[in-house]
Amino acid sequence: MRSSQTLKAEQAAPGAAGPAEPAGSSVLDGPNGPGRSADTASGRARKARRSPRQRGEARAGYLFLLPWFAGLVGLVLGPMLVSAYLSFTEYDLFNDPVWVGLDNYRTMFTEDPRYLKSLQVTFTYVLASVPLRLVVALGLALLMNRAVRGMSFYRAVLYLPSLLGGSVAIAVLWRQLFGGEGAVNQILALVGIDGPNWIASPDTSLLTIIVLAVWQFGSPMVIFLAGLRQIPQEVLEAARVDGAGAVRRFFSVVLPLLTPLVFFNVIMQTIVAFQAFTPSFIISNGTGGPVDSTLFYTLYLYIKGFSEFQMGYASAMAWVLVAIIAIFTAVNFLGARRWVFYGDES
Amino acid sequence: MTTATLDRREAPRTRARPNKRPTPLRTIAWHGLMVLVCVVSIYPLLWMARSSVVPETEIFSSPSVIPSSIDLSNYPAGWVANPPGFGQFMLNSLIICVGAVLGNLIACTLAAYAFARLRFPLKGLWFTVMLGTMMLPGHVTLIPQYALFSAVDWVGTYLPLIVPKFLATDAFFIFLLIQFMRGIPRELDEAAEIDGAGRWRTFRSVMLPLTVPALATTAVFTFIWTYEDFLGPLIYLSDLNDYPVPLGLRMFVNAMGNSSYGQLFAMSLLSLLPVFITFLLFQRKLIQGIATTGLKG
Amino acid sequence: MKSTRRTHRHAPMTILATCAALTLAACGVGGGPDESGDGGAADPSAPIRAAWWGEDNQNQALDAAITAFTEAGGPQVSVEPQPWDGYWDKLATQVAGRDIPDVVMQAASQLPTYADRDALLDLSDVELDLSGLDEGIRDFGAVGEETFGVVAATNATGFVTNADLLADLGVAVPEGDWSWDDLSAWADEVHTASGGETWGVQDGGGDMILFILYVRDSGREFYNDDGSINATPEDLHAWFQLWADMRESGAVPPAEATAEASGNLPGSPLASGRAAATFAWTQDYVALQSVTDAALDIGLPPHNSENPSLWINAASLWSISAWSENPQGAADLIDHLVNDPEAVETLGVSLGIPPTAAAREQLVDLVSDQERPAVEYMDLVAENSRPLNRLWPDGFATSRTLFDQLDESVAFGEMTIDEAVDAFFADAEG
Repeated sequence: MRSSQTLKAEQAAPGAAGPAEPAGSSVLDGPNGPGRSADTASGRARKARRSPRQRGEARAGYLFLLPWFAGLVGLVLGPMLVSAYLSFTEYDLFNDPVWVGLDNYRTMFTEDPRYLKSLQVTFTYVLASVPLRLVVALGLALLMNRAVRGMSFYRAVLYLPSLLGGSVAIAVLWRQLFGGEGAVNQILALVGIDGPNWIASPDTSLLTIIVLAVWQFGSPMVIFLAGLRQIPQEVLEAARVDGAGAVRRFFSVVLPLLTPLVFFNVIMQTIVAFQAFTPSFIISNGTGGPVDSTLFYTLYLYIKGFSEFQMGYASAMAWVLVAIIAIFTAVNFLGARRWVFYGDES
Repeated sequence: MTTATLDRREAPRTRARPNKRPTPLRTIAWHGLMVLVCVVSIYPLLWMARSSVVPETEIFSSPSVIPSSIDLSNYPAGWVANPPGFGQFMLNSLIICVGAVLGNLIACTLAAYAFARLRFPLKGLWFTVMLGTMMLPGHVTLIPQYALFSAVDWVGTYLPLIVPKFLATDAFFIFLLIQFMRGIPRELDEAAEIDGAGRWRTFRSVMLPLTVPALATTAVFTFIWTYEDFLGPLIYLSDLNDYPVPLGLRMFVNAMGNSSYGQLFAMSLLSLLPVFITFLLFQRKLIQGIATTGLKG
Repeated sequence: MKSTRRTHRHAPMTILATCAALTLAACGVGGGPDESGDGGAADPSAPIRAAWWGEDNQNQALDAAITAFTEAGGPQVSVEPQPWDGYWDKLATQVAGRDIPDVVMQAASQLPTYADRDALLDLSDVELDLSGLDEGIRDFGAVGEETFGVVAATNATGFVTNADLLADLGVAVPEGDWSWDDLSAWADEVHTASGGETWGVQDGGGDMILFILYVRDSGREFYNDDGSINATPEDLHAWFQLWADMRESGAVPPAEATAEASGNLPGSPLASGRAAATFAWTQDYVALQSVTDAALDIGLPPHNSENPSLWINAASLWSISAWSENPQGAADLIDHLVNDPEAVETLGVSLGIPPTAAAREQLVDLVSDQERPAVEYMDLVAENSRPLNRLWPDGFATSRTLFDQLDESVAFGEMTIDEAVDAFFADAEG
């Protein structure tokens, strides 16, 4: 196994996708900061001129990125910048935007209790649903990582809840499960518990949506599974020969090798959870009720933009969310130096 | 398993198969757990199946999965409702999905390879930008995007739903592929480069085969998420003949008039079939892919 | 080498600037909504687009009627049927892109937003014969001197009761004039007669439409002619108190049960037999009947013949885009759909109950048994109604949502009635 000191040093910072050292370079070289990557060829002086080989590689890099650049410039950046501009305006979709400076941002934090409520709901949801969903997804992926006849069928079945996504069926079914006289309470009644109206009580309604999110564990599970299948059997075998038990094998062999994908899932699930819209939209019928207890950030943003025609305000909300997500992502990337390691660094 | 060693560089990887015989107790426990998980997962599907064959008055009255009576008429009725009908909707979905899958496979893989393996100026900046594009909620870019596609006269065609995929706008998959590629030992492509293979050849003949499981994952997710997408087709398509499945399904529900819930559930169930089958097939592919990878490594 | 790097450094900013400029230009930001088509000069045979929400029956009927229109010499029409879900999101996006269809189906609650912000054409700019429409519904889409919508189908609020359940309990539905206090007493009677098993009526405290009926019951209007609110804080306080008391006594379901059923007609207490009555629009009555085995009746809500509070409402309206390049062609299509006997025959009651007496007469035999009570109820409403003094003002939809939220906060004990009343009027004035 790799030593912890190599682990620490070789991690990428948010600004550097891959340390991308050439063969034979020391893995102890620090991560590359933005804009420096081309100059940090290890074992050379920082100021050394680029070799033709490096120039060739740079050209290749940009060639491979060409479609992405085209998309970025042609389709992605423009709308993003327009929304950034709109966030400083009052824009009702019908008339031209009117510049209002920071007013939208100020209103958000000082005069809009529903906004603050939506922040609270969303943070609760992210902090509860992301870890739970990942643990369930990883647990089931481990459970399914065996060679058993019909396993692909099992996998497909486990993916079913995620396929149902935002369908009307879920909206109807969730009420029948978590309503006052729903299936959950009928089961609880068997053991003498008088359950609340889970879906309609402001204290528990968010819980039912978290349950829904955890239940739709399919996509992180599939990614974990793909990662698990990539772990060489010999590594596990060696640990077994060394006398490591199942638990120890998991923590000292499997989990470390899986860290790039754990990391990916943490980042992506956090981003997705912050932007969660559909679950609350279908369960609360688009209202975020009862009494705003499921008013997710993006649901409120949507209500502001499309129901109340305050697209400027909605855009400002969106950019605050970008800032929040960016902070979470950056912290994740910084923390990742300690616990994620990559096969390209061995 | 004779050459078991910690060093991947030297170990020829063999098919990942557990060789330990599980004890009967463990097997029973495993199957028990799996059955439980499957029941929880499959329940809503059974409920939908039941709801598609009972009278509408029964759908909403209980969470039971056992129908009191069976009437299959919702299937033919739902199939031909809203001409051109559900067959056409599924075909349309398929066209959009195939385009989207191809686009994502090509464009995202290229971008991911650059980020994972190549050094070039401003790489860090572009990587950060790439992550950043995922952070803005789609609802606020919907309108400017519509304006863009409207300006080039693409509204009413499938282009706004497919072309962006060929331009790698799904950063999720770029990031996913980067993470997979970085899990692949660098010596493999280096060996190829020393042999004199160009970047393109290294990418095509070394990287791509090694990334098959990740490509399968990308294909499956792109297919499913495109198949389910409601907002995109809603905004860009207006002709019933062009509608994909999600739009076709919503046509059964009219909050301001009659709704046909039975037909809705019948068609919802039918519409899950292609995705389920895709998933089943690709799952197999995915595992085979990894096994092959192991042998080559 | 250095210069190359500088170029690299500048590249991102250049790209940003170019993207923003291009997209802003594409958005038409700076263009403004005044690029509308000029009604007079336009070619009346230019093709037009028509959009509506609907389900299968309605789509097929409209499609057939529109095909007949084109075959009879009208312009080519591309039809854009859409699901109700998402209809308004798409329309809002199209408005921002100045790209809405020529003929657009509108809802009474949304029309003012679009009309007030100049997205719809004043129908007096085109030739359109509306004389066949019922008195009182003809001007429904009017704001002052301008008219923005032609009613496509009518509806009204009614008091829907579970006849089977009430027969079992031996409680009769009120007849003749009755007041909102009578409603409270009646609901209590049902609750008591059922031994506390059944709620008298579903919670209607959050429904602003009912509050408007309540205000109109005393002969006043909810909105002043200028669009400001005419109802008083005292009215609203009394209203919230009325429903709070009913929740207290068990005549009305508790807050949780109401929240559970919100936006879920088939799962509502009435549909599941746990409540004896509810207030519902005529089309909801038809929908409710299709998801329950019990026989449902529809009758007049609390009313007095001196000051009829009900009005015949527009379930949907036809409007013309302010940017239409063929407004007269669009108007001709609307005229065809509303007035042409063959179109009326083709459409039947798929859109709802037609706004012209001629059409209703023509269709009397086409109505299904499920729909018949709703159609007959509309005749009853016609005799017991008083048209609204004006179309809803801009902001009506938002007020209505807020009203529901405030009532819910009161029901869950998160707000006092006083606070809710203050919040409603603060919003209305702010």
